[in-house]
Amino acid sequence: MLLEVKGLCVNYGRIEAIRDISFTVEEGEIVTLIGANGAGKTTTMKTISGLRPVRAGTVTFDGQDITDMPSHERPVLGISQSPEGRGCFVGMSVMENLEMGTYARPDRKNKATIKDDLDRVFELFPRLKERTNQAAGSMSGGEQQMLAMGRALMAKPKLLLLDEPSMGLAPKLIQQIFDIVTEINSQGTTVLLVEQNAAQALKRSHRAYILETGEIVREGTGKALAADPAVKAAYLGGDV
Amino acid sequence: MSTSTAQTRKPRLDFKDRVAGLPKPVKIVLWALFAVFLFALPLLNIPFITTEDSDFGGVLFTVATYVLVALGLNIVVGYAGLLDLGYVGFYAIGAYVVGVLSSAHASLPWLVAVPIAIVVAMISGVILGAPTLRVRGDYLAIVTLGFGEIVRLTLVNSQWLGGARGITDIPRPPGIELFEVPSLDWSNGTPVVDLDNTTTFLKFGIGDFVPYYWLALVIIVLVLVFDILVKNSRVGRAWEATREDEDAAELMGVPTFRFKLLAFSLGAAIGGLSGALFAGKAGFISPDSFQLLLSILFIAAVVVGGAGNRVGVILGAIVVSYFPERFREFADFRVLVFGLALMVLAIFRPQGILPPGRTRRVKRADEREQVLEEGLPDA
Repeated sequence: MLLEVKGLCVNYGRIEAIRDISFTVEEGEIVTLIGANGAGKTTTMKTISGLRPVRAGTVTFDGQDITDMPSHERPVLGISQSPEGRGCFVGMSVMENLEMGTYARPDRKNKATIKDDLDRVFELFPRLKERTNQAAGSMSGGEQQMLAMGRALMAKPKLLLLDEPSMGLAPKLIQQIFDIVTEINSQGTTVLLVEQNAAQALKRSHRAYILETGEIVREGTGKALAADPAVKAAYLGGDV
Repeated sequence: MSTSTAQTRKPRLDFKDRVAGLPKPVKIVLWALFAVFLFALPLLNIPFITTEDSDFGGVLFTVATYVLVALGLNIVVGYAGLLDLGYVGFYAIGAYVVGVLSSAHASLPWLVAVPIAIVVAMISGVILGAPTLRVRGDYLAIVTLGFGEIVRLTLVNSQWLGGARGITDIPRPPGIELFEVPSLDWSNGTPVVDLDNTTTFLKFGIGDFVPYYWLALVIIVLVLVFDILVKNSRVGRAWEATREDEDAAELMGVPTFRFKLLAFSLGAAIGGLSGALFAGKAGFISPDSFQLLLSILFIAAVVVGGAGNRVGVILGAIVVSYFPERFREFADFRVLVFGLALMVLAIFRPQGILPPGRTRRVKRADEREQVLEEGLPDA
């Protein structure tokens, strides 16, 4: 088990954002958390990467309890997140953003390894290669999304957390982003995905959990959930 | 949308790029000439630039302390993106540590007191920063604003620190008095070497402030070197990431809190150094020298110059400190004119006189994008 979340509760002040949720991610999987706005998806992601403090429950990564570990130490373990809303460093160039991805890597001084990883990112996202010197803030939403994912990959994570990679993108681009997620996964990176675009996400993921107002209400394989009538009605637009 | 600015623009070379393109020996010579000019400035007595109504050496010293302060505050505000409205507090701490150690309660020489002042200012930066840097944005500004006032009120109310009367008889920096440097006299319209009006090389006296200016200039150069080294290191990159998106920086493994604290304490140290320098020149300090207005002027220097750009903030510091002195003849109106000038700058150069390269780059890329999307109207 690469990631195990057990009985997790997170509050924003008095408001319970997530209540007693438990789920696991096995090595090599793509696991998706699906839910509407305010269901607690992003909070779950932020808690796994350490940006939100935990009220109760545990987060275990690779056999190590990381519940109280500061967020900046988690990339060293192999957790890397592409945050919601991209979170690119807009004033930095594409290349500098990608370099920031290697910030916590112990082998960041090894130019050959970094170069290999950079080539791999450019292979996944050829657009980034064309724009290495451009300021991230001046790129389109799709390109910034690619940059955020590329930057997260530069950390060479064992577990890649993707928070709504399809948000605000054109349908064609969404398809492309999901193709890339599948490709990243097939190259050996475990992916935990948070999505509102349930149809695509369920199709691509091995397993999925459905979050409703801070609780997990359903879980299963991507296929099974996609075929579930209740899920269909709520998240896939019924029989349309 | 107006594309008129973008359409006529040729691939433009920044001043910086042009300088960078020069051969190295030329660059060294140019920098050396510039340095000599800066050191000679108070003796050249260039018409119009020289202040008529107040001693030019003294004015230049004041300008130099503002530059030093602006460089320190730029680390906090420009690099790390922390709005510090109480910077005068560190300036005061630096000055008072020198005052206490060299005059009020001990008689250490100025040179020994200064490093202690820097360290104390730095520690006070950590003490203020550790609890407050967890709050962001506006809240930090309010807390630091309070800090500046707390320092001043403590000074006013502590008899041990001299109360409202302050501390007198602060020793001056040690001099060496090697030789006399003549100055220029322009009274006949052409420059003439004036051998009667000389400055003793490194005599830190009371009538002639030129050596203090020289000392400040040397310190500025040292701080600048330090600034460049830090900014171009991993630390500088971490500050930049923290400033742009704190959460994303954390996700990349940047311990943002630690880096903010580092920026805060380095800024405080430089503020303390400026204060120590000020105390050494003035010989007398009182809480009145550390009013809230000074904090606002410091922030104005950084913002007007272009937060994040070290050359920009130097220019900003010069604008904020030199012009009010230069236009002293307008008497009470000068503050009004000064305020108007700041407003005009805020309207026409909201990013500062010289914003950091990155800000400009984003803007230029945006313009290029716009041209690509909308096409050149006349092309």
